[in-house]
Amino acid sequence: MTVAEPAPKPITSGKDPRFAPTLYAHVGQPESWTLDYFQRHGGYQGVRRAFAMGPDAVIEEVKKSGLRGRGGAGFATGLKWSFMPLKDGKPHYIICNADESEPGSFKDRYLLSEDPHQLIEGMLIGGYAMRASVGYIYIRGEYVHAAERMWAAIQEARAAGLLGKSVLGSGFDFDLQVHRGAGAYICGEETALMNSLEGLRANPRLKPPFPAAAGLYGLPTTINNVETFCAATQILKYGADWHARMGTEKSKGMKLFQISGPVARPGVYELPLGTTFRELIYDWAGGPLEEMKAIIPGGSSCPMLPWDDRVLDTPMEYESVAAAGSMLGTGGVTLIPKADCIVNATWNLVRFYGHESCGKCTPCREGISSWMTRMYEKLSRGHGQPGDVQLILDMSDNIGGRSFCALADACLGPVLSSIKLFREEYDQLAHTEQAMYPARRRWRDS
Amino acid sequence: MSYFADKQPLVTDIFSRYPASPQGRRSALMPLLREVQDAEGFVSEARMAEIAGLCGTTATEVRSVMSFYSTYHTLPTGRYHLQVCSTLMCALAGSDELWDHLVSVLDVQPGEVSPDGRFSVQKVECLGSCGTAPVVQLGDEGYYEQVTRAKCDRLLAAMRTDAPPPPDNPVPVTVREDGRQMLANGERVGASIADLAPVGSAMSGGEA
Amino acid sequence: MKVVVDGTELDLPAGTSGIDAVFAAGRDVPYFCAHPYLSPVGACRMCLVESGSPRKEKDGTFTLDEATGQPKIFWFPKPMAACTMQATDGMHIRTAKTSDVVAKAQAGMMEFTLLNHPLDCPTCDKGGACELQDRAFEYGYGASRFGFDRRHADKHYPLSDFVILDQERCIHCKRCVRYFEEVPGQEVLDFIERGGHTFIDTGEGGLPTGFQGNITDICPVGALLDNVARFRGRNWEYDHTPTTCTLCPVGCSVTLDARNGRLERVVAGENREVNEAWICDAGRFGHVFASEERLTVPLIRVDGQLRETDWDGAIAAMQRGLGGMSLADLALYLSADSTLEEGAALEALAGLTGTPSVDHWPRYGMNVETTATLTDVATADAVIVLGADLGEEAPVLELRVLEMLRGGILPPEFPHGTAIADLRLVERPTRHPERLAVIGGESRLSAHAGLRVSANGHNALARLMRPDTDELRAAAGLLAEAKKPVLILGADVLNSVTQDFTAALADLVTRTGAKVLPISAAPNSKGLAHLNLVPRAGGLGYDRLEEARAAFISRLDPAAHSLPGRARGFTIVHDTHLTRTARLADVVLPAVTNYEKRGTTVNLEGRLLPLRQAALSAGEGADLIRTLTALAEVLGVRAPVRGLKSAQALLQTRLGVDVTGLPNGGVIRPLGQRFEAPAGQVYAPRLWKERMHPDPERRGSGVPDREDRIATWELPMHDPALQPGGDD
Ligand SMILES: Cc1cc2nc3c(=O)[nH]c(=O)nc-3n(C[C@H](O)[C@H](O)[C@H](O)COP(=O)(O)O)c2cc1C
Ligand code: SF4
Ligand code: FES
Repeated sequence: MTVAEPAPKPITSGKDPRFAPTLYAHVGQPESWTLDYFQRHGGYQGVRRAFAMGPDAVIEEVKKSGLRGRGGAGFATGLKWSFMPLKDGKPHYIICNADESEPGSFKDRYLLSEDPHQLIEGMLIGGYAMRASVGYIYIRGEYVHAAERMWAAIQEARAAGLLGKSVLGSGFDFDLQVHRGAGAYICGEETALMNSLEGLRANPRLKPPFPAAAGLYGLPTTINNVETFCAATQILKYGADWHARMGTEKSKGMKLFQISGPVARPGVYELPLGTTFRELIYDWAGGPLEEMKAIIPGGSSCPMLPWDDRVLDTPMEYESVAAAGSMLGTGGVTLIPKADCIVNATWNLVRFYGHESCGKCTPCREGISSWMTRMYEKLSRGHGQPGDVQLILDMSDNIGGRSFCALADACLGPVLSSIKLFREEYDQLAHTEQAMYPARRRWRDS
Repeated sequence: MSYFADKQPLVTDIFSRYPASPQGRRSALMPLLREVQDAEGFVSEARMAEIAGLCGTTATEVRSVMSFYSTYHTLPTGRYHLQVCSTLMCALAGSDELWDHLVSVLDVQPGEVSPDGRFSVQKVECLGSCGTAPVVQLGDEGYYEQVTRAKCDRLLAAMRTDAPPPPDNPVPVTVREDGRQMLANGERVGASIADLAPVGSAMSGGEA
Repeated sequence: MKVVVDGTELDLPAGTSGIDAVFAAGRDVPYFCAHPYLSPVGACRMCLVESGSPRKEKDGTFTLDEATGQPKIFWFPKPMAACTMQATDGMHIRTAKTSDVVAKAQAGMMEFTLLNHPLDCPTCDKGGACELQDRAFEYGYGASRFGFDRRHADKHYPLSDFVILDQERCIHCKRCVRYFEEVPGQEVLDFIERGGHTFIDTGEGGLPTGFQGNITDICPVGALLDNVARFRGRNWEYDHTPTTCTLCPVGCSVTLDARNGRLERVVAGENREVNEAWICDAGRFGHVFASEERLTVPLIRVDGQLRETDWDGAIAAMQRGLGGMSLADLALYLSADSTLEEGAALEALAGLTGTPSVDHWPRYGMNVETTATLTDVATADAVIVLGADLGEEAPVLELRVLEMLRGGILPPEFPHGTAIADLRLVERPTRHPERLAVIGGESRLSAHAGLRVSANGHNALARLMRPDTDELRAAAGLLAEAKKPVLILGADVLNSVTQDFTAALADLVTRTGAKVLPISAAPNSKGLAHLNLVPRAGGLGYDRLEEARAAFISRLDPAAHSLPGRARGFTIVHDTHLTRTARLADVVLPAVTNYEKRGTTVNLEGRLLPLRQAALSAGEGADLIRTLTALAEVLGVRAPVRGLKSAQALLQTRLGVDVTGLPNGGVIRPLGQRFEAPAGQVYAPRLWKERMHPDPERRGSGVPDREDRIATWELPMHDPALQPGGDD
């Protein structure tokens, strides 16, 4: 080594000439879900490299890559993997969280149905690193097609010796199973998911003990999102350094951003973390079809942000979005048009959380499911009274941070942010019983 | 009449996915419910008791678990059980009007089955297809996406002749055949996966 | 471990939960879902507190607060549920007393809890003893801002004959659901639906009889109510009498709720060493006999018919009937659920009259030494049940065995009582069926046993010692390998105990270190065995009643068991009801039930437990001591024991124990010599006696049900003689 080269600039835009999509590289290609296709496109190289490195080095590699969980919380994946009691010799489990039920998120579905082997490889890598011998893929019940593709891919992989006893002759035994959910958002919460997998009501469990100590069937378990495992596949294949070159200081790698609402090209875009909302919305998604007033930046639980230049220029990475007052979540961006009543839009989400509340704890069952929903119904139907908004705020204060799991807090994301940003719309409804933006026709004829 | 009595291989297969312990046995509860519902359209009390026996639990527990999830039915549904996503992203694309249209055209309310036994409707929450809103799920088959008024009517007509089209699966093709992504304006930008070199391969280090 | 609650520093054992730290400090937090004997779940969110902990620097020292030089406390940004939070060394906790955040959080949570709770406290049986009512008063806003209709659901939903559910009142604390799953190990009650629509129900067509009644005690609101006691009285109208249940030899703590002289309800009391907080359904619901069809006056036979009289009349009749008979001809038999005091009185009288024909029933021919306590059972690492049907013989012992299968975790005790939240208890705990072997007939417990061997009582032990099948070998192996094994012996074995058996058992105990818990035949047969209440030389045992020239039979009903129901000659029956045997008697004396006695009973462990007297109307009914005093008068002797005090003084000299002032929880004391004699008949334990069943039809009684009776009432609406007021 002679002179230290100046560190290359990180890749923070999908337009960067160095940025190559990997997670979705094959999504949409003919037969992309077959083992044959996958292997012709360099599949199962990451896991081979993992086997060559040894499990501890795999965890180090993932740590070095800076990968953070793509399920919403953004917890460092390598660190999470290292929480498993690696040397206890007990059976361990890994679970892939493919429950994807957060409104605004729809990235995992295509990973499952279009590139199932990428996930299998990622779970092999995770299973190897965490000394697990069984992995479960918990797919939300409605994703029938994805579950079928996943199932078929697992059969193919088994037949090819990629799952089962001594995978690829490595001496590492690993098998995968698909478990289908049946319609409950709470199953995305990791401990509720484990209950569901155990054939119980999907109520979240008490922590501690954390899943890494006592999870599925009481054994050490780690849960990761589909995208997280797929990213691990790419990291092992192309190296931690490659991954760490993309994104920002603390949010590294690429991410599947989803955009929905009235834009020209709604869909999933694979972009490096740090890409701005503006780039996503205008350059990739072709721009809004009408005037907008709010952005939900990362799935419905994330507080709405106002539609303004400051927000549009915010890089989509965990820290900057948090600084802007919201969360990156799952990266599911939704645009809310100016001409829509924000109270009505929020009611819709509140109803969603109320419907999905598991009913275990009081603030969520009574506060969200029973009361908040009806307060919004009252307001939206034009029966609001002065003081109702204040009451909603006070109720939120009694709910927030008091519930058993994060679902109740998730509901407060849209509630509190919409009141903060659009108080005048609320007040207008409460005082005049008239929405500032009356309902309008939105359903397209063809 | 027992449902699983003559389906031993299936039952064995389901149990084999979970540990051979009482807890593992219990895990089969949801897949077994799904089997019955797929075959019979709903899960009757007799079936619940049967499943309880298979999983080593009680009818109470089966009913408790079943009722927790929104896609299991205790009453028969129509042959075409249409589930309309009503969550915000679909609502922004007109799912409320879609729902009203369905209910009035089919003349069924949630919980009912149309007199010809064909249709039943249900409002459901986010189906995870927000990019192709509005979305209607057909039974346990799959989704119809971007259901415009014209498409809705086409679908209903097809179902009335018992020839529903297969579910849609439009894939958000953001990456082109060359592995590069395309901007909204048609421009291809960035690199392709073909330009990346797996670590340890000959090309490694070749690219900045 | 140092914990600071509202500024008060406490020293607490490691593992203490936040909620217990608060109570240990003499402070209070409201709670609904936590329960001392159930796993903490953190569902109701009422027990919110603020908490914070010091942090350590890299070098192991505490980060100091610059201002005070003390370790800096890092407070959690949000209030925490105290029931599921473990207190840690140095933790600070603030309750509503010192924190406005907590006060507001609790009031807000109370508002949510009350949101859908109906306002029917005035007609709710729980009123006045309702945790929700009390806590709402202490911690609520005092008003609700919920301007909508409350949830409507079924308000009269019977979960069984015994338990009625009001679905509107449920606050979803899950205590009942957890109870069934964790304690009797039955998944028979659970939530249905989710979110705001959640309600509880059973899919089993009714809760199983056994231990279902406990859910009516633990429900913090009036959602689950004792159907037998339903609408019988308000909580503040009841006289509450804590006493010991004597329907079986376990001796559970219970509280009797009586009103207007009727026993209306039995609720469980807490005795950490005996029944923890649970009782069986017989003990709870089987009390109706105490207030139904009671015999309230003496009866004498006149012209072949039983006629009512008073005690003087009865005494005269007895004098006539026994006239000319030698004192020693009168056989004396008593029920083995009589108190020690009653037994002592009878023993003394027998000593005086010199009758060799004395007996108590039920009992076994030989006594087997008891070396295990119920706590030993719960904390054992292996239990072998030999020839017992615990459901019939000692139901709560079954719960203690099941507790052993869950790991035998006994929640710690604090000055404020049993730990409210023991964090070692977990939902759906791992069970260890392999630690339990049931040898003998099928019983409810068999379903939980890892090892089941059918064998008859006679040779069960012999076969265990020389196992001839794989299962028996496994059971013997379990016993041999365990460190703290307990052997439970039931009726099927104890009915046929021989010298050989005792020797073999002694040998087994020496080899394995097992403790032995024989289940007494009757609630106090273990205590009465220490008094000389068995046939003496030349005497007639209870099995030979018909040979006696005359007999006095206290609260035994041989005729109901198709046995001869009277002596050869004059027969006196002392009982609470006109039993079949009483119908055959010459004189019937009214007795009192064990609910109306003071005295002492000895449970299967050898624990002396106090009986207290509830205020029930018993007419002229008298306990055995007073009855024997009258009998002594008839016989022309001065009764050696004339009241409770003298009986207890006698016990002090006879057994060397002071039974006055026993604590509610009782004490285990050696009682010295035991008396045994062949029993002459086999005892088949049965928990539910006909008379106990609340449903008159099942009880075999002609009394119409309350509803039917109400229908026949003529309400004296216009009776000018009617006075306002009445009994309330
Ligand atoms: C109410 C709730 C719903 C959630 N839903 C999902 C989900 O649908 N998919 C998902 O991957 N993670 C979901 N999560 C996050 C998971 O609990 C968990 O953090 C994640 O699966 C961890 O994976 P990661 O580390 O790969 O992100 C949810 C969390 C909560 C509290
Ligand atoms: S019925 Fe009572 S004990 Fe059961 S969940 Fe409801 S409030 Fe709790
Ligand atoms: S949350 Fe219910 S007592 Fe703590």
